[in-house]
Parts: sequence; structure tokens; C-alpha cells
Amino acid sequence: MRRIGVFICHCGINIAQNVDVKALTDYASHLNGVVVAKEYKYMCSDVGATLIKDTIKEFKLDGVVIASCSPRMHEHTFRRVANDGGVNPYRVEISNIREQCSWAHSNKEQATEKAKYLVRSAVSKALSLEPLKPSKLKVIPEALVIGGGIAGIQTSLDLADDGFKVHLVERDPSVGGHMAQLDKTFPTLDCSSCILTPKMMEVANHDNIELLSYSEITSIEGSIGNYTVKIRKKPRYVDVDKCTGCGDCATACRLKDRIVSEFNQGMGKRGAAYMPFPQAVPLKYVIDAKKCLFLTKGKCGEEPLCKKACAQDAINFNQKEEIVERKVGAIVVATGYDIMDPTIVYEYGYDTSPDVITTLEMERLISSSGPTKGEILRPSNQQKPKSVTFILCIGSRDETQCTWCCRIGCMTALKQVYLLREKLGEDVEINVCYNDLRSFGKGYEEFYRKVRGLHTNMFRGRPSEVRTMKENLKIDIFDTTTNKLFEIKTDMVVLVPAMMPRTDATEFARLLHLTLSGDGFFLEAHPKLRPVDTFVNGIFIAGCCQAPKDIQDTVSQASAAASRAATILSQEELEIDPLIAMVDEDACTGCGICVEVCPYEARTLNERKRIAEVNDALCAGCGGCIAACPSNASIHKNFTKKQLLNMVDDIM
Amino acid sequence: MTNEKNPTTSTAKHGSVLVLGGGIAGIQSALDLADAGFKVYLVEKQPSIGGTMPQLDKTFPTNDCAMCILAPKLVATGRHPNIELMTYSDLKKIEGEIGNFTVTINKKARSVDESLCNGCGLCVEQCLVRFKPQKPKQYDATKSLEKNDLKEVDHIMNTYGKTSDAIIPIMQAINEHYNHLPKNILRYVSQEVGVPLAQVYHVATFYTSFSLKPRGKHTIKVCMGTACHVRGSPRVLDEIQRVLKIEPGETTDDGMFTLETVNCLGACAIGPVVVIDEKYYMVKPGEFGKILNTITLEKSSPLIAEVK
Repeated sequence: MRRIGVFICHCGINIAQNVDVKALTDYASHLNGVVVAKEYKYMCSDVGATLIKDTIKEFKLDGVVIASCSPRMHEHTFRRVANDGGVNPYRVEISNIREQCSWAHSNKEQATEKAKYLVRSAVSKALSLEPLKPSKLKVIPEALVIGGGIAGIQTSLDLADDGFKVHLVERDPSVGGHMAQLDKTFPTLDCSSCILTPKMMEVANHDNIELLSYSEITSIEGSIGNYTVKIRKKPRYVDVDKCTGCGDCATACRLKDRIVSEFNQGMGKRGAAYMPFPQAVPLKYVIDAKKCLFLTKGKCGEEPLCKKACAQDAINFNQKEEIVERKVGAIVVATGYDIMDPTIVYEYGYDTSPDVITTLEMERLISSSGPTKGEILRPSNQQKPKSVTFILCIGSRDETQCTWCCRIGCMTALKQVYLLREKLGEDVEINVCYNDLRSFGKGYEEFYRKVRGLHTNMFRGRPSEVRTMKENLKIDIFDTTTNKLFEIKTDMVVLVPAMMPRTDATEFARLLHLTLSGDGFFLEAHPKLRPVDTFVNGIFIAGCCQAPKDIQDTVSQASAAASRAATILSQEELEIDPLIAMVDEDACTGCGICVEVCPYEARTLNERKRIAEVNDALCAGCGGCIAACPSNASIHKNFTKKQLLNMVDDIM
Repeated sequence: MTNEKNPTTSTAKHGSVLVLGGGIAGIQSALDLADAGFKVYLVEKQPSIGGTMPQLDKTFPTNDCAMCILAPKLVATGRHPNIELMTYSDLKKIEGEIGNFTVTINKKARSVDESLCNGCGLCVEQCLVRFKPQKPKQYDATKSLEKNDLKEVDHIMNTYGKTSDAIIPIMQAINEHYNHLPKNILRYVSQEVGVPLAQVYHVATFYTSFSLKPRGKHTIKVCMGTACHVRGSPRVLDEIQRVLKIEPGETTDDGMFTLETVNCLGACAIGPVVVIDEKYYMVKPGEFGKILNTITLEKSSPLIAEVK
């Protein structure tokens, strides 16, 4: 025979004014299975908690019903109190007689009657509640960070400084990402590589960080606290332990200065043996397997010149790709963004004139480590331009391309205007064609005012097209602030292209079971209150893979993701709420419907036993599989059909 | 801090963190730190944490209710074993350096024992300087009515009974008598029958047979159903619009005609159908003028003369 105790709360006057608590207590004490019923003004207070604990001991209770406010408020509190008293915390049932009774009704007699029904059905549920134990999951105190741009770097450093082992995976031969390509950063104009390089070095040298450059993720299995990740290390054909980064191989390469350099956005050339950029981390050379004569044709003259040139004997054409496995407790995704291909907006002539370039290409021209050593030269004739025109929002805020704002275009253009004025002097004409200038950040508006003072011609409008003339480029623009049509003759046009999700974002999202938002970026769990969490527990997102943002916001988000990951990694064990789904193995037919409906990937089909299984760590207890199961084999613990029907029977 | 407590053994190892400001930024920092196992002191100047966010209704761009997404975080902060809340408190002094700060906090007198107060609200009820909601002056709709109207509407209401069940028949009778539902009469009906004005308007705007604008003496309804449409009702409507110089839904300036379009009148066989004052006419395009003539209308109307 079960021994249930009922505790009824007055909640000050919140419940007591509309429910006759005395009558309710008297009624409850006579219910089947109830050995004691007590009332108190505030059950949630310390005095109330002590009352519950003492009563449990005095009457040797094995189940508790609390008639009070919504379980959302104090279920947690009362579970703890019951546990302290010696009753399994999952044998506590809350009957909500405040929100669902006293607050909703004004007739005291009828409300009391309703409260009786509610308490009666709660008692019947309490009689059949099973004692449950939360399962424990050991947490591997290591993190995986995917992407070695500024977001990934910042996250890795934060986590490593917190004392966790970090595996940083970067697809390219060097970390640094887009930020390494920039010359200066707005609005303070500090040199990008001066502030980034120390962080890149720290990543390479930190005891807690394992840098896996030139590597890609191939598979991720497991769940929060315990992921198994397989990583493919692409062959560099250079022994990183031997390479000193001297550059003899690159100088010797037969294809030297014949391959388009990705880092310089096609503005410069490299060889098949190359270093992406002088500050690369790790500072090791790599051989481009798609271009190298020896690797593609099997022959490079008498013998490969790089091999001959390398004093360290670091060149190794026998390297094979390698799959390594790492076990981690949390994952931060910081895979960044792609820039929209401006040829799509063909009217701006990106593919018809070499003098039409993007901001990133201009960035390489401005940079002193770029192909022109920092000189601004027209790509068509290598002369100093007399006039440069910026066109903003190429593909951004455009219903036909990207509906969103790239958030950096306006400020990037303004920054380049400032730098060009510095480099080219006063006699060069600079025009800016903009839609709206959005200078929203700290110090941005002040920067905009500064640039407006630099004899910059600002046109508010969208040019119809960029026409290639013999000598120069021609643009017609209708300025909507003066209502006049202008014709601009200019030497160079700089397009500010939209920021897009990575081309392989969909594929990558599938690998990690992440969700994409409508625009194709990774979706956060809540746009305001969980901006770096995802719907997969234990996986976080940071930087431009979530949405376009500037460096400031990216770094804040990266630190936020690191601190969110640290909340998991700092725990030795994770407690898993036992109120989740389970499978009745005898009833399960292995149809797999539950696997299909589960939004948390918590269901798998055991092919050998032909039954479905639940991953306790992933199950969120949503109940979707219970509703979907055609053979009643899916059971929600302590919300079984029998328990719920008993409650309904007692209310009817 | 003098009243330092160590709720878990792990905090002794990690140390503690002070978070200044209990808005959403402070709350999130405190929760993340507390979840990671640090002891957190959250200091807020106001009597409650929350900051500006609870003052907002909805938040862009997703328009979720600010309070609905904030409240769970407030509750979580309040009951987190690693967070010590210090509301209604000011920062006085910070000494020391990274890793070892000593902070002096001034806890303002709440004059209520926080450990005993359950938030029941009885003290507010009893307080002599409590806020008393001011009742707006009762609006009496009776005064806005003419004597005749008062008599007429009273008669209608007495016929059907002043109960909420009778609201539709009452409104139908008023609509019939005045050819529309005058605003002041609706207010009067709402007051007398005891149905909220919003609900009266709810009914008035739901049924197309009710009109809130004055209607003409004669109502012309043109059927735009499929059968009538193929038989030329759009051209008939065009003609009526041309002759009367009004659009569907409008009334002529002299208050004689109201033009409406309907979707089907159930008389497809004689389409295109035009109903004038509940009488059905089969109107071929170009014949509307003639029909207008045959109806016994006020001969003095200049409109008829024009049609001739």
C-alpha cells in the first residue's frame, strides 16, 4: 500500500481567497492512498519545506502531492525538498491550483470543487509514479573548434586559457581566415595582421591547443559531453617537423609565379610549392597537389627542383592523407562566410573590365604585404588611378540575391576611402555610391563624419551599370538627395559584395545535424537569449557562419561560445533528466517511424535486434515519438498511458 | 565580502566573480559563470533584477514577448545555488587586483526582511499611501440621443428584451429603421443591454447586412457571381457607376442610392441580376437607365431626369 502525503499551499491569499483550503485539505486526507494532508501559508518557504520534510519522516511517506502554483515555478524546489526528506524526487506530483484554478475563477464554491478534482487526479498519478534516477554522463573535458578564422582562434584561446584541451581544425594550410587578408580594420584603423598575428602565434604555441591545419572533419558521432570526431589530414607533401619555412622550395619551383594566389584574391601569383602568406601559422610550406607537375604528371624535369633545393630534406611526395580520431565534450563551429561572386550582377562589369575589383581585392592592393607592396595601381595598366569609385550593396539588401545587410560593407568602403586618400593624396577623386550608410557601431558614426570631410563625393543611389570605355569606366548615377543625374568617369571601380553562407554550409550542417535559417546561415537556438547555442546540445556557433558581422561582434560571440562550452566542459558529469522516452522492446516492431519524427536525432534503429533505441543524452522528452508510435512501444517515463488515463478517470 | 558562503566545494577552488548590473547582460554572465561552477555575486541597484528588458513588450526581429523569454532567466538566477543576489545595493569601493579583489557593497535598507517576505502583497493592500486606481467618469450614452431616437430605440429594446441574446435582433431593427447603425445609438444599446461596446462592434462589422455608415434610401445590389459575370454583370456595374457617379460601397451625395456588389443572389437563371430595394431585376447592359425609370422613385430627383 502506497503512502501519499498531500500538501496544500495558500500562496498568501492567491489561492486561499478563491479556494477553501481547509475544506480541500479535509477532502484530500480522505482520498484513497493518502495518509496525511496538510496546509500552510507558503509551502515554498523554508518553513514550508521543513514541514514537508518532517511530515515525510513522521508518516513514512513514499509519494508527495503538492497543490500550489504552476510546476514551472517550484517543481524544482519541491523535488529537492522531497529528496531531502527521503522520497524519490520523481515521486512528486504538482497540482496547479493557482494558475489553473484560483486565478482563473471568482466563484469560491465552484473553484474549491474544481481544486478537489485537480488534487484527486494528482493523487491518482502520484500513486502510480515510478521512482526514477537521473543517469550520469561522463564529460570529456576537451573541445573541438572548427574553423581557424578570428572566431575560431578567439574561442580556442579562451577555452585553452580556461584549462581545457582544444583541437582546432582548419581547412586551409594556415589559420587566420579572412581577417589575415585585411590591411587595416575600422574604425580604429589598427593594422589587421598586427593584432591578429600574436593571436595566431599563441594558438600555435599554446600547450592546450592542438592545431590541425590543412584538415577537414569527416564525421561526428555521439552527443553532448562525449563526441567522437574523425578528421582528415590532407597531405602537405612537406614534412612539418623538418620544414623551417626558409622558402627555398618556393623559389626553386618550376611553376613559380604561374599560379593564381587565393590569398591575394587573384591579384598576385604563387608557385606550386608555396606559403599562403608571410605570417602563416604554422609557418610551413605546402605543395599544391592539384597544380604540382610531379604530383599531376608524375614528372617534373629530371627531378623536382623543390626536393633538390630543400636542405632539410623536408619534401616528401609519398605523404598520404591520414584520418585521425579525437574525443571531445563540446564543439564550437566557426566556419565563416563566402563572398558573393560579383559576376552574378553582370551590369557592374566585374568580368568585362580588370579595373572593376572587389573590396577584398582592394584590401590586398592596399596591404604592404600584397602583390603591389601596398601601391594602388590600376590592374589594366599598372598606373596610379586618378579617380576611384565605390559601389556599395552589390547583392546585399537585394531581393534577387541576398536580402540581408552584410553589416560591414559601408564601413569597409569608408575605411578604404580613408586609406586611399592617405596613399593617393588630395588630387585623386573618390566617389561613393551608396543606398544607406549604416554606421551603427561604437565609433562608426564618428568615423563616417571624418571620411565625409575628406572631399569624398557621396551619391545616394544605385548606378544602372558600369560601362567599359577605351580609357576609363563610365557610370550613370541618379543621386536621390539632390535629384540630379550624374555621369562619373572613373579609372577604377570597387564593388562591395554581399556576404554569403559557405557554399558547403548545407552539407556541413547535415554532418553536424545543425539547422540552417532561411538565408542559409547556421541557425541559433534563440535569436536573443541563446545566440551562440544550437538545437544540438553541446554544439555552439560563433562568427559569420551564424550571420554576417564585423570583427568586434565576431570576437564577442567567439568568447561567448567559449564560455558556453566551458559550462559543459567544467562539469565532471552531466546529469540527464530521467523524464525521457524509453522503448518497450517486446512491443516494438522496428518500423522506424520514431527515428523519422525525432527532432533531436535521439532515436536509432538497432538493425540486429530490429528495435528502436533511445539515446538518453540526446532525448529532450518532447513526446513526439510517443504520439507517432503505432504499436504503443514508445513510453514516456512517468507519463505513461496508464498514468494519464488514471488521472483523466479521476477527473471525469 | 563578509557574508561569504561556499555552497559547493568546487567554488573554493575556483574563487568568485562579481557581476555589476542585473539587466539581461548581467543575468546571462551570472548564469554562465554559475553554471561553470563559479560563485557569483550579482549586484543590482534597483529592488529587482531585470533592467530595461522587462519594460519592453516585444523584441525585434522575431517579435517574441520580452517578458516570456526573460522570466525563465530571472527565475533561474534567483534560485541558482551559485548566485548570491544583492538587489537594492550599490557598489561602494573596489580594492585589490586581478584574482583578488575586495569589494564593499552598500545594501540599502529595504525595510522588509527578504528571507521572510513571500511576495504575498498583503502589505501593499494595507498601505495607506498605496496607489488607488482612478475610475474613469462613467460615460452616459443617454445624453447623446435625441428624444425621438431615445423613444424609438427603447421601444425596439423592450420588444426584444434587454438581454445579450437579443443583441442581433435589436441591431437588425435599428439598422432597418435608420438604414445604418449610428454610433451614439450603439453606445446606448451597449450601455442598456450590458454588452461591451467592443462586442457590439464585433457583431456590427462581422455581418455585411449591418452598416456603420449612413446608407441611401434605395440599395442597389449587383450580382458579380460567375453566371452573372459571364452574362455581362461587370458592364452593368460600370454603367451604374457611370450613371450614379459612385463606386461600390458608396452612397450618392443626395442620399438616394447605395451601390453594393454581392457574390450570388441565387437567381442565376435571370442573370445578370440587380436587386433594388429587395426587388429582383434582370438588367441587360445598357438597360439600367430604363429600369431606374420604371421604379417609382421621387420624380423630383434630378438624377432620374438625367437618365431620361
